[in-house]
Amino acid sequence: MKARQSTDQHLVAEVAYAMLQRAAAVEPAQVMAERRVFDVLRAAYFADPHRALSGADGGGDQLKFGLPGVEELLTPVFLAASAEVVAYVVDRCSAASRRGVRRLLGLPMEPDGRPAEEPDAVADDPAVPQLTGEQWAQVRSIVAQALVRYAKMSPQRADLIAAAVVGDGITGVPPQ
Amino acid sequence: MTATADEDVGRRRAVRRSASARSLRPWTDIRFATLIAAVLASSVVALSVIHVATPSLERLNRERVDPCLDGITAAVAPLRLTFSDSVLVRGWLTNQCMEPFFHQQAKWVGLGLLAQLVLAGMLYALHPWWLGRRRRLTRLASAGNADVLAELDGLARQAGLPRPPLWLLAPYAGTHGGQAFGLPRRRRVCLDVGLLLRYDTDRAGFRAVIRHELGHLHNRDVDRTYLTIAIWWSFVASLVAPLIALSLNPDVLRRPQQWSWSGDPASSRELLHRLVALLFLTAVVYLARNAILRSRELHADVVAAGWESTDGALRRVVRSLPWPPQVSRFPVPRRWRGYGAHLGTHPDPRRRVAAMDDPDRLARTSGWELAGLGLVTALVLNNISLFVGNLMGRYLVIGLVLLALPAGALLVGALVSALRQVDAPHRGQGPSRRDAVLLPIAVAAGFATGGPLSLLAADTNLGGFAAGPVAFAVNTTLLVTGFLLISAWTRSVGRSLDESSTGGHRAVSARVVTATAVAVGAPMFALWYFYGYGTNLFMTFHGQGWPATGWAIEWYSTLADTIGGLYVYQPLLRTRQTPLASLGMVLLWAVPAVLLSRRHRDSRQSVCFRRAAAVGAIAGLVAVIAAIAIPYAAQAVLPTDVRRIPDEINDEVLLHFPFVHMGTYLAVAALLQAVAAAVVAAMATRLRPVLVPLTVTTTAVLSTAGLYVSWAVSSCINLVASSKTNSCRPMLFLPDEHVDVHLHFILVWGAAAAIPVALISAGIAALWRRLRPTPPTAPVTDRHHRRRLAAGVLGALGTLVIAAAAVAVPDNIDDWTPGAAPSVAVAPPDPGQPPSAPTIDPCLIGTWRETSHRTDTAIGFDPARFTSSGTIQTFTAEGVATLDTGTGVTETAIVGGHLVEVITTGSITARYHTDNGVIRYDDEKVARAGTVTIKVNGSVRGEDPLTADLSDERYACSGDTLRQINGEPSMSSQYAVELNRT
Repeated sequence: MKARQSTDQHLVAEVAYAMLQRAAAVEPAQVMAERRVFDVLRAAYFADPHRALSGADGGGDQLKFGLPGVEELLTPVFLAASAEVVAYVVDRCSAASRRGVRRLLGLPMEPDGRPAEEPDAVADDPAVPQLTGEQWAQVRSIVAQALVRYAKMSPQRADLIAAAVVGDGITGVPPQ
Repeated sequence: MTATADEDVGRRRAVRRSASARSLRPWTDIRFATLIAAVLASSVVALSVIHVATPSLERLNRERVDPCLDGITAAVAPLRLTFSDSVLVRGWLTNQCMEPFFHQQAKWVGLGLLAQLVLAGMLYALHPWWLGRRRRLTRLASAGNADVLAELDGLARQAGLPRPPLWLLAPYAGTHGGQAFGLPRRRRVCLDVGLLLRYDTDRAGFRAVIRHELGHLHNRDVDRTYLTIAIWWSFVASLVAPLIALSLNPDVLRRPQQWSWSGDPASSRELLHRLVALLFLTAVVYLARNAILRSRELHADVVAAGWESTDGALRRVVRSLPWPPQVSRFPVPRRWRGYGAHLGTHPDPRRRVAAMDDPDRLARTSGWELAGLGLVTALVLNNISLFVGNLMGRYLVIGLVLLALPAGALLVGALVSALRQVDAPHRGQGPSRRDAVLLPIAVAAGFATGGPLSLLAADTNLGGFAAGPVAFAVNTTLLVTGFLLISAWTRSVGRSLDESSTGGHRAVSARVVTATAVAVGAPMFALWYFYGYGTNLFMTFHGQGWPATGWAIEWYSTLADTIGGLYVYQPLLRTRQTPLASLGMVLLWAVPAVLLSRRHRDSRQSVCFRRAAAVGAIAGLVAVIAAIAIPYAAQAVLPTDVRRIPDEINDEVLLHFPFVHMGTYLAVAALLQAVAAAVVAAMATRLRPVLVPLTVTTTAVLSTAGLYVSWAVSSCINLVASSKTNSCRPMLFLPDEHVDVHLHFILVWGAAAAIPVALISAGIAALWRRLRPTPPTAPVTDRHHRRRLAAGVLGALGTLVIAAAAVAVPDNIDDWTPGAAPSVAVAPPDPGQPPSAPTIDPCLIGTWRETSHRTDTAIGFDPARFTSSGTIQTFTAEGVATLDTGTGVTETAIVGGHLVEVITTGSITARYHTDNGVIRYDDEKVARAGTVTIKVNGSVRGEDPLTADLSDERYACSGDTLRQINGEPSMSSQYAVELNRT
């Protein structure tokens, strides 16, 4: 599950953050809470993706609050999904450069790498290469599968969030 | 309900929480301390085992201890001592010779413990670093979390912490928990990243979890928890590995290059026992630690709930915790997690919520907890007894008793507290009969189990089945009975007090009752521990073979033997040599009498006391009548030759007639005390454990007067034929300066007889009442002057007995002080003379047949000489000795008129070398498994597997003849073997 060395961690984080922002449409409270810890979770994920996705950190049980179940965290899942999406886009669309991928995925071009709040404006730019509907569907599938696999979500809910993240208008497939 | 009423309820609830929390803290501290003590005591045994295997000890033995032991025979020989005196002097000299060993061992153990504690301190100091690294903790950054930090600091202030802890974040913990840890003055609370999410999604839940963690800091749980864990890991890291290595190869430190595996089954059993003991210790420490941590969680919950407003968020969050937990530290199948979870570090969420609703639950101690405490206490006590005993030297006896005293106080105190706690929800009814039976059985069973499974038992069998399974069963039964009696007394007194006491008085009374139970029970426990230690004095009743006059009359001989046996029966004799039995007996009825006298308008209690004293007085008067009758009866049935005082009273004639006369009367008085106790136990329906001691005390006091009456009558009728002139004077009827001794004798014998009889009687009466129920009696009024008279009589009775106990204290101190050391010493080895190198005497090499094997020993007080022949001994030039009994060698002796046979089969091999006329053996192994069978008059009385145990022995070899005699002078038996070369 380690992100490939060739992919840019910064870009993966950027894409994951964009996903998280878009997921606010269906999970507003969760997304608002996760914004606070996005940076911490991002650093933890890149240090040890497997551990970040498992949600359990060991260290002995003494004087802990109890033995609660693992909370549902979208950020590590989006980071994992983002890594796969970036790899897919690089592989399939010959958009090897970071700038190209950003354009393809419709991310804003901020000098500090942090995505803009409204990336849709960039997506409308005719100069930016576009993914086909089929490719967008594949991206959405990657996100949905990541949500099912890592967050143990039901396929229906995962599809709904994936639709919110990718946009069902682009894929032309409504969420189930 | 109005707002004011709400506040009032809240305040009262907070006060209750605070009181429950306060009462829990010392209890948890005790359990933490006991757990740490168990680990440290196990370390003492482990360090002792390692010390025995060190090269430095081998050198010390060779240069100082062995030569000293070899010189004992020469030092004792000129003294011309009797056999028993010789055994005592040799034992004392052996201890003297062993002193360098004990001192080196003490130094070794002391340094080892110090190193272990230093390591534990380091581990404790490093735990924040370790947790931070393991969990990849990061500081909760103020950027973006200023509001969170402000909230957290506010909660810390509310918790009353002098300074807020350092707030950390666990980035990999997707859970919504927290964890408290850190060193003093730098506490830390770590937030799971999942919890931080709750700050925005569930603020109340977020606060509830933080308050729980702050509750741990408020309760000072952090140091105790992490210190306990650190001490355990320091034990594992520093001692377990060497212990296992030494178990597999005892020579690993002395000769690390030479690996040897002993195929001896006894060695394998010993190894297995040691590994089982280690595993058991691990399991006990783990489970006990978890039990304590569970109670700390409940405590933190209760404290945190007290800080909450009325939203009940903590209950909600706790209730939502999955159970059994979804996450497990160990790879346990999901369906089994439920069972394991109950033994984990956190209680069932339902129990946590219940504790928040009813904080009194916190202070309640379950039977399992008591069993655990008993078990851990047994590990502590057993594991340090040998070590401390060795250092105490001549003061071993008093040392063992004093060592066991705090353990007794702890266990009795815990039991009584537990009984009071289970009573809490049902004030006035006392603990249920089920609790009153199960709780004492639990604590006694826990203690009894800890002995055989201690590391000491694995190495020495002490604390386990050293005296055989029957002795172990007797010991355990006595312990269970003792705790049951304490429980019955506590329950009975508690119920009577609770019926009419008010809150403040009830608390004071409860403390007095607990203190009394501890004051009576703890010394008795200490004596019980001493009696059962090692050879087990409970099993050493010498009821026959006493040298006495009048042996021709069979019934008199039997009576004299029984009296003699009772007189020297150590548990009775030693208990009589303390003021504890007398004081305890008085405390058991006097304390409840005083407590009840002020509170009860209903006079049933005082009537009960008066009746019990009356029954005791009647039995006492019967004893006085018996005291008069016995001399006349003796005069009628015994010839003058028997009724005489020998001119010289010595070991040969211990049981002269006056002694038997006194013993007979003591026995009659004891029986009358038992009968009186049985009557009271059957008649009374309440306060039986209080009234029976009162009855016994009353009978004992009157019986003591009866003893003097009996002696005076004997003198008046000239019963005893003596060279001294008999006289008949009124003064003879008055007590003399030894009255305290006689009173203690009668009380101790009487209590020993009364307890079982009263229990049986109470049981039968209870059954009878169940079959034929009688209506409850109406309250009765007692006349004031009768109550005052009864109080005066009881006061005088108690004062009399306590005064007698006080008068006897100087004698008691003398009885327990070891005698003066014998004025004999072993000549130190010449330092100028180098120690002789191990050699093999060529004369020994060859095969030898025992033509005569004679062992002089004592069975009980009977001297015995065992004889045998036929064993084959082989000594090789390579230093291997073999002892082969072929198809079996039988040693025979006549002991007390009985034919005793010891039949040995199997063979033993060992390495040997000769050293200045001594054959020294080591590395003994059973070469061919066999048995040692004991027969008395042809019937088998015991059979044990042959064990590989050869003692060093002196020898004289010349040509084809070889003679061997004891090499260890301290042995209680002496042997001489004649062998011919084959």
